[in-house]
Amino acid sequence: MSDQAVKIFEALSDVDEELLERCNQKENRKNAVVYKLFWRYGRTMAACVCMIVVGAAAWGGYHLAMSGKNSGSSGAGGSQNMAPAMPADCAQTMDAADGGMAGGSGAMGSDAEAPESGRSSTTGGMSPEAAFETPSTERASSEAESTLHTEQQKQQDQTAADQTGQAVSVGNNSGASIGGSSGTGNGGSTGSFSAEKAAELWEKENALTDSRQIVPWAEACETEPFGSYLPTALPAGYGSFSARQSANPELWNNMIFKWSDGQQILHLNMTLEGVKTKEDLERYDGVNQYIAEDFQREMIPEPGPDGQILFTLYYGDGMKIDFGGYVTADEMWEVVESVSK
Amino acid sequence: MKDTEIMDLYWARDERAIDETQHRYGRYCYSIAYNILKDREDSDECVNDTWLRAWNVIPPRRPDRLELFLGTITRNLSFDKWKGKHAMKRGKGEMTVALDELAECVPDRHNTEDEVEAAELGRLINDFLHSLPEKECNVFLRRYWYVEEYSAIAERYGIKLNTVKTMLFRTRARLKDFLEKEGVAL
Repeated sequence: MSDQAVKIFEALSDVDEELLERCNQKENRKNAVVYKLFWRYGRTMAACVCMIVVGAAAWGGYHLAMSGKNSGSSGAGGSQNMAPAMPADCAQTMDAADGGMAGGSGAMGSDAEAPESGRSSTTGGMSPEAAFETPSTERASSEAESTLHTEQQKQQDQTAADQTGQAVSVGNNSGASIGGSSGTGNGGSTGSFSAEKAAELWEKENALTDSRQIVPWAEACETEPFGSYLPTALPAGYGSFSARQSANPELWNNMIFKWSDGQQILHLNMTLEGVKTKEDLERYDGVNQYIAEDFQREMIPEPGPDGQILFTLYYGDGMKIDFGGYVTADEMWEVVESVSK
Repeated sequence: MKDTEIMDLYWARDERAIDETQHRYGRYCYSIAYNILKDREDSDECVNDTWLRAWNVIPPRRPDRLELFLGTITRNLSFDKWKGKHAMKRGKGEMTVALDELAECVPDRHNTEDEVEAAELGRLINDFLHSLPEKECNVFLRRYWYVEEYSAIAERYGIKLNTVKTMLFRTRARLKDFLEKEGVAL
């Protein structure tokens, strides 16, 4: 990295605002160019589309004619040849996935006691890093393995409980995994654990700026009003990761909670602001921002280019929560619903 | 809410100022940070720090153009964070590429010249940009102020990708000539 280049880059910070404003202006010419391009290439594009349509029609007609011929001679044989048999392993995968999803949804069933046990928890003296220190199995790369993963997870939890003598509240069939309760963190997270990845996540977490400060998880869970908004259901495999609070709560009353499955982060970024109405949101023209009581499963946005689902909900008491995670829409909905509850 | 109204909130030390700022300029500042850092969390942090910085300097400052004022803060914070993360590494990424390109503008140094002061360099670069045709200046700023990718710049101005590259190549050469004629040493 050239120091001189850095100087030029930094010197650009002093550029006149009128020049910046000029380069920010929406380019009217852009529409004209698009219009021009349409007329220049539109006829070519139209011709290509026509050829494709004609070609498809001709192919379809040929195919119909041939299948008519075949059905005349061999009965249903022709149609049988068209649908390849589902490979046996694929069928098994789907069956296992159904079982895995059931196991997963079991893991996400809310348990009213889980948050309490999480908060009273045994992580009080346990650093979040310790939560990831005992990997046991490689992360399942497909849903087909998730059922096996769930079974292994139960065994690990039991082993951990025996070893540490501490109650484990993890994302098994008993309910939500809140509070990073045991030495194994949330057992689900050990099942999908990569030591290097966890170290990378922690390095990144520790390198964040000081506008927010790390808070012990148990303490964060008891900090109002944020603790009241903690979800009681998490996607399978997720356990507590970190909590950070604004350094100046009087100015910016914010707490961000993060959970991890050892690979990715699920976060709820909570800020207490003024109450917002639907009209406010329309005025701000914000993207993926909703009034919480109006929010439905179907409104969960598609993942962004990086695969993360991101949206914001505004609650009636002025709480704003930015939801973000590399999870499915169903999993995210379970989280949202559990916050509402 | 208009900028003047938001500014009034800052001067009245009303905490809604940050709220309104975030709603009005959050995406703008985030895009500046993300172009440099290419990391959601770091970008989020820089944007949040921008609000705190703005709160601390307004008043006494009362910027004419709040959007650009905030954007500049975000840019500086993002670049500082980027430098911190990349001090020991020579990584890839748009920021590294942009700096490598700007390195071409560094004038050849003569032993007798003293290094130019940062403020003087800023003034000279301003003069240079004012001397450019509007489109070249816009493209240069989109690339080296906003750290936008070539394709984004091409799409914004409805020009071809190669045109953007050629334009920037020539502008960088002109900047180098300009700085050499001014006797600038970096």
